[in-house]
Amino acid sequence: MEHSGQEILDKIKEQKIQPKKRWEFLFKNYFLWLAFALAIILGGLASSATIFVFKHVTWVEMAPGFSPLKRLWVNLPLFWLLSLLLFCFLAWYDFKNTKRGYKYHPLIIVSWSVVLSIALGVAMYSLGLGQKLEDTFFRRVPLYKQMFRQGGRMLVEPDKGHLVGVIISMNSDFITIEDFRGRSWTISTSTAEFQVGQRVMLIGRVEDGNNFICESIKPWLKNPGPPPPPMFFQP
Amino acid sequence: MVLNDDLADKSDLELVNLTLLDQENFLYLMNRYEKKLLRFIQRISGLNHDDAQDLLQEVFIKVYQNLNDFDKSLKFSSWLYRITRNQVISNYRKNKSRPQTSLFDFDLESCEQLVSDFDINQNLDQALLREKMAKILAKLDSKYREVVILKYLEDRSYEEISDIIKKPVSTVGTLLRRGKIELQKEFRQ
Repeated sequence: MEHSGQEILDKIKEQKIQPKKRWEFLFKNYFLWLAFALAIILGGLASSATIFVFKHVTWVEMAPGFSPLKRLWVNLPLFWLLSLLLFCFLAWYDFKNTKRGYKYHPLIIVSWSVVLSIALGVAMYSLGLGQKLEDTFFRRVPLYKQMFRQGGRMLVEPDKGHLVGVIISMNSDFITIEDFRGRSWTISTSTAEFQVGQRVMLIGRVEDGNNFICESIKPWLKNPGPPPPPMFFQP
Repeated sequence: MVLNDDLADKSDLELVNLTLLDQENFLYLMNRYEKKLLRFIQRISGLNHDDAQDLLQEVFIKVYQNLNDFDKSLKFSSWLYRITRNQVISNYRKNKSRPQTSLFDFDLESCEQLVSDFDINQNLDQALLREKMAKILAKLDSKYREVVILKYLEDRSYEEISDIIKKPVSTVGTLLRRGKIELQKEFRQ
């Protein structure tokens, strides 16, 4: 059906159609930039936890019989790597929907998101955020705990002389751990450097029942110690 | 409404600003782009004249509603073409039927331009050539067809096509190159 410009204008008047307010569009664009920044910050946190896990696992020294591929698989911080990927994808999605985001190739946006997240992650790791985040997730996020325990199950082989688990109680002579398959073990050892809730790896042998003679015990994730003071406080 | 010659000579941007002050001025923008957009709708959708007119009405209403979103770093025409393309896509999804891709309504000059730009050497008379080109264009994958139409029939630059379809300029180049290969292949058959 033929519609003249005047007819369309009459329809606009008749239906009282008005241009949307400028602030609505500005709000949408600012919201997308904010969501992009948030995705990069969350990606940075995921990177800091990834760096922490990679830098502080002790399993390489503890399980020498494992092939490099098996070692990598057991300790790959899959949860954090997947989180990093997810946040980089969200960053790309937010950026491409900003006013001029379409001008950039998706590969360039994703690459920049990864670079920015990792750079931020390095800074956050140096401030100790990676360790805090990883520890908090293990204690408070059931999904993360489940994934971590799942990976660790490969190392629960008491007959072959190695165990991994969480310290559930301790005194000056004994510690009790629950391995990642859910079995409790009593270990005779001095525990000065450990604490309840800590994840540990043990080398030794099964004595009888639930007793494990421990030759070596180490935290799964080495404590990096307190973060260094910011540069401007150093002499 | 009696059209004022002074206003008709104003730039697109000036008319956008004037329309935001007084909706009557929207008529000048509609008059300026009505024919071009109608032809573009028919070319990318294959809709008949009446359906294309209805769609054009929806386009102009959407343009009016979104005037405050016009990015002044773009050409107004690119922004208009973008909204038009989106409306065609949305109309296609709403109707859930493939748009008619029947013969294109394009003039002999445009057809000859396409044949020359695409290095197609055909010994056909002009009417047959135009018919063949229209059929091939209608059969072409829509992602190639729209860039071919924008470049060779609507005479838009790479930058403008990038702003219209919201893809990087490099992607526009790739789509055009592949579209050209597809078209040449079809022509040889």
